Amino acid sequence: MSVRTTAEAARAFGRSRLSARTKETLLGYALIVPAFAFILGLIAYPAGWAMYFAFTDKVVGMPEKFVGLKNFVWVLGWPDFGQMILNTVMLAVVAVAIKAVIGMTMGLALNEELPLRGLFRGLLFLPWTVPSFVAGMIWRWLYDDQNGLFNWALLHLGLINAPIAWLGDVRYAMPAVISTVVWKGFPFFTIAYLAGLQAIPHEQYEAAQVDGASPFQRFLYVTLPGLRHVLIVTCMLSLIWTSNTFDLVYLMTAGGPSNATEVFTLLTFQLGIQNGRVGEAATVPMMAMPIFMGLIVVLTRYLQDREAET
Amino acid sequence: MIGALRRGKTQKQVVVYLTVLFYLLVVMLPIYWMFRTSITENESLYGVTLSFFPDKLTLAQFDQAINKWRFGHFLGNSIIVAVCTTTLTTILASLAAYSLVRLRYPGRAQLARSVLFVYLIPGGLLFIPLFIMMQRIGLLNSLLSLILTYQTFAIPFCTWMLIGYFKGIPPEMEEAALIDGCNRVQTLTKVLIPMAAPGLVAAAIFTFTLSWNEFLYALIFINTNTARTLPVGLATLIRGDIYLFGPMMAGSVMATLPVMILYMAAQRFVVQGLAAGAVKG
Repeated sequence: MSVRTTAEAARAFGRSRLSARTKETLLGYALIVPAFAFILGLIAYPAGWAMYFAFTDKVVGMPEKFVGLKNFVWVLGWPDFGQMILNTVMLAVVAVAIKAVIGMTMGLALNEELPLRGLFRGLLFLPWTVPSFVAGMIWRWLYDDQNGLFNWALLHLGLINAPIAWLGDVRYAMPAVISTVVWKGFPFFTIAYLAGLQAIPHEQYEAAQVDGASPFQRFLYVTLPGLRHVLIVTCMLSLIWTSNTFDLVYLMTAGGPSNATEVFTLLTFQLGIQNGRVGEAATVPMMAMPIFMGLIVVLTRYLQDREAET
Repeated sequence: MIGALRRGKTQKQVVVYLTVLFYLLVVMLPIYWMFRTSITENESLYGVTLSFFPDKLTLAQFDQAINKWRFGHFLGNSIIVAVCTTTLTTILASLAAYSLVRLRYPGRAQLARSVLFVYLIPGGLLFIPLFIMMQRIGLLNSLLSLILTYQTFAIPFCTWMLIGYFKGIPPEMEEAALIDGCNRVQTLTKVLIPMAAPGLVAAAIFTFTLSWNEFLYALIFINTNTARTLPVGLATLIRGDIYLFGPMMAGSVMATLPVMILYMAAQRFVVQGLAAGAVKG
């Protein structure tokens, strides 16, 4: 009698344990389904459609038919295609490099003991809180050829004789856009580097000082290695984001003058939305996709490996 | 020796100070110019009469922005979209993050990785198919189309941040609550969420900002004044030769102040959040 009860109890115990595990699995999936339904429905599904459209002659409001690689040939044959690629790469690489350098100097400076340091940190953080479409508007106004502040100041200081059409001149348009991207983006680097600097143990600096290292050597052998991880992550994140800049360029120059600031997001927009040529438009991001996917896969791996280490 | 050291230190401080002040000037000038323009009369904005410091202050630009260009209405739309997006995202993301951090089941690691992966996919690759999709289901020119599409970046971002937060909170409290008879959902709502409140606040603020600042989808999905959000409403003021920089800057101030105030008020949470979430090591 008592033996049977024990056996039954053991069985019941085993069953409930098994079902507890199943329950945990079911609950785990149940909690994640709503979020992933959005991700699948609004990212994976449209991405699939985009890949299909790239091989069709789809035009807004019309049924499509398969055209093979015609769209790719057409886009590649567009006279300013090379220029567009060059612009996108230049905007991303130059802006990220400048952001990283300014962010680093600011991070180092604000890590020092300074009177009013808290206030400075707060103020230098401000461009990050300004929406990027607002940044585009403000800088367009600053660079305005007729009434902009920059031309006004330069004329008053006697540095130029006639107003410069900053955004209308092939030579100046891209630097002007880059200056805005940098202004808006460097606080992100500063914050990241400040956090990274505070994580470097003070003993390392003391040890370096005892060994007679100069300030520059301390920077080279203690600070930089200590910031290696933050540097890699911020630069890669920023590279992905900056090469996808749309609103700043659209608002400041709309790709002009004569495609001097045309970037791939803008070309996609002009083809697909303004001209309704969905098929051709879909090929542009598809050609950019391998580069982004490469970056994203590397960054994902890197972040997760770090996660596992710590 | 000590004197030289001290002199070196002072020199260094001066250099640091000058660098900071220089950047401060660069950072503040455009923001100053936005505010300055928004409270200046047209006569002192254009042409030779322009002046750097304010002389006669006026609210005429705001009056124009709100009454002629309907920025009050656009601001309302932006608030509706941002609040709905943030609420929906925060709920879905905390459920997903809880599941990915605390529960054990097959495929969990891959799902967590895919969240990060999706978070990094840029919108530039997706907007054409999303436009066609919204057109097919007849949601163009509605705020709902924006609330739905904003989930594509908000959910992965918010989930990724919350994963970082939830991991930093020791599971013992929840285990104790489980032994005391709470079920799993109760441990989430009654134990983990109150403990992770700063993280949730930061994630919500970031999500709100992402939605508030979104430009591309709002530009392509919305073509009517009824449904325009502030960013796109502002963009309609760019028209060739007509100078509308006054109301444009007034609208920019309206778009910037809410976010700025939010960050000022919650700076501590936000900096912690950035350190723990976005660039977590």
